[in-house]
Amino acid sequence: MKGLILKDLYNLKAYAKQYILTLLMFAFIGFVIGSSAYSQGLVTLYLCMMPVTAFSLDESSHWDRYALTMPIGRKDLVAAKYVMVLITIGSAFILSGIMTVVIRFRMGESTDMQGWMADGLSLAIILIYGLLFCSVLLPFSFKFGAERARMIIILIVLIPVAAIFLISHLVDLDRIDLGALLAGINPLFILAAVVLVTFILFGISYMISCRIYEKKEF
Amino acid sequence: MNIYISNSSGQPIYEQIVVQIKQLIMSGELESGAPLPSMRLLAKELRISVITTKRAYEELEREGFITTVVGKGSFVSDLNHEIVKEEQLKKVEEHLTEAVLWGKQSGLSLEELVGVLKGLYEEDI
Amino acid sequence: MDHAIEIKGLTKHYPGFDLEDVDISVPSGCIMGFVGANGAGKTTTIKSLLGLIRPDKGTIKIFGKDYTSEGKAIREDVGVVFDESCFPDGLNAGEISRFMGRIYTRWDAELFQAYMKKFAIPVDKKVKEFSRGMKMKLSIAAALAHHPKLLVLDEATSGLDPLVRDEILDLFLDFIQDEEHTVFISSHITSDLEKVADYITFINNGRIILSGEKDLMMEEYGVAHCDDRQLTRIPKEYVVGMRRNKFGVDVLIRSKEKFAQRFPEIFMDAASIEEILLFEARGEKI
Repeated sequence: MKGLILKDLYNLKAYAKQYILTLLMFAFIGFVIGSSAYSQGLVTLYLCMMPVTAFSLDESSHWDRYALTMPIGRKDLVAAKYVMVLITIGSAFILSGIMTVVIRFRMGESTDMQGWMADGLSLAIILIYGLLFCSVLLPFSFKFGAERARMIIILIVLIPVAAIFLISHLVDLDRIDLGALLAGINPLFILAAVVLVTFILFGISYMISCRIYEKKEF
Repeated sequence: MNIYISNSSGQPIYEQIVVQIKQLIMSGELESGAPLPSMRLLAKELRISVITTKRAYEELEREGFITTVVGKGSFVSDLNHEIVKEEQLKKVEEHLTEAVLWGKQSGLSLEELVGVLKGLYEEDI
Repeated sequence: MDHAIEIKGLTKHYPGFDLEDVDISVPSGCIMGFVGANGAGKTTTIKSLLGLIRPDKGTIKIFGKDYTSEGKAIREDVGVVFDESCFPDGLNAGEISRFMGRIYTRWDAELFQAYMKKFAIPVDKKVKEFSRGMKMKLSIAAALAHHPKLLVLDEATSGLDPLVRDEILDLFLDFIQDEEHTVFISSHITSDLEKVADYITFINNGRIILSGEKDLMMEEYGVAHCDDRQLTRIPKEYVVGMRRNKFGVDVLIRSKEKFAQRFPEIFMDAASIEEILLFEARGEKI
């Protein structure tokens, strides 16, 4: 499996220059504006595209059918993609984290504890969103191929946005006193629970992808 | 050691090899005990199938010209003079058969034929 | 181990095409050519052999081991070359060697490098800049560099010029010097196989129509050229198939020695592998 990940890394190397330049640009803009949210969001989105790119590169060279003639199991091939996702999201997390810290200091808000917590929260959300995004994307990519999966991406991005939009319109959020609801529970606890659930869903996604891939014919 | 094969001669390839190796042995170019190239190497160099070279070697072994030792290869046998003579006789017979056919076709008698043979034998060929 | 590949009763149904009851046995240490028209089932058979497709029926053994249960270990010893290079375009030979080394336990980086040198492939040139011949040579080098015992090639020499095919043929012949090594190659370029194949298996419309030692086939079959009158005198058991043209009939004859003795006046030629396939697949039957 290490070999497969190495191959993906080499594959993406060509895009690396593009990525780094764009990321630097985002970081710079974020730095100038003083908003880390901007860079965080873009970094995540950008890095989430990497697994998709890796998938379509594989497809265009018919790599899968060749890879399956090597001494690796189908599960290994699936696992390699999932590990790739963890690597990219982990990188997004770290990069965003660094940018956030830098921007905070730059804005002179390094003592703003509330601010730090908000930043921590948005970083956590990046992690969660990225993992959920890939948890949905990967099984689709394995089943239908990278090209059709791209169309799913649009849905994955739109649906939460639309849902939030609908909910905020249909439900008068002012009426629900979230504060009272959550008063008894430590917010960190909730966050940890959500992160845990996300990882579990990621694991389930892996199992689904394995099932799909075991049955696939080339 | 020179071996070549012709794809268009109509003669099966393994036979061509058998004939040529026999000639090399008879002429002394391949001496008793000399090693022969491995079947696989011969197949590779001549660009033919290994089964063909195997067949050729098996035939040569059957006729007593070579011996194959598993793991070591094939070697020219210590030539049994009878085998050599037999082989040579076979060749002579082949050629004489042709001469006899021609002779009969041209209406030569047996004496006339023998006469030609005698004359040729006594000449300094 | 006496058979490198044993396929029994391989059956696979697709809409519009069936692979029916395919039996193929490839003895170790030899080269078997797998011949058939495009769409005859060669690739389907090979994909089933390698586990890329799941057959509806049949067993597959490689090196005497059941492929379905021991596939992963078996694949250490199998080198595969498809008709197109399967390496991602953006990689170069050096990178390929590095990650392949993490996949195969017996990957020989030095050997791979030696092949790159031999083929004049620069180690840092990206695959997308390779010519077709170079891509093929790369694929073959990759297949050989992990010291496999079995080489499987699916139309690997199509689209290559004769010079490159010659180079590649040399590689196979070198590979087969070790008598534990076996080559299974599907091709419709029969001239290559005619020379070096030990066994030939013909497939047409998803069924095996003929299989055996190439030398024996060459001795068994001949092409007779005759006219209609002579044709009527030829007993059915000699005729595999025939093709008419404006000036006569070509007939693929079996047991050609006996036939030649019986009909010395009918002109007969040696049959090439291509002709055997053509007559079997497209010839009229009597």
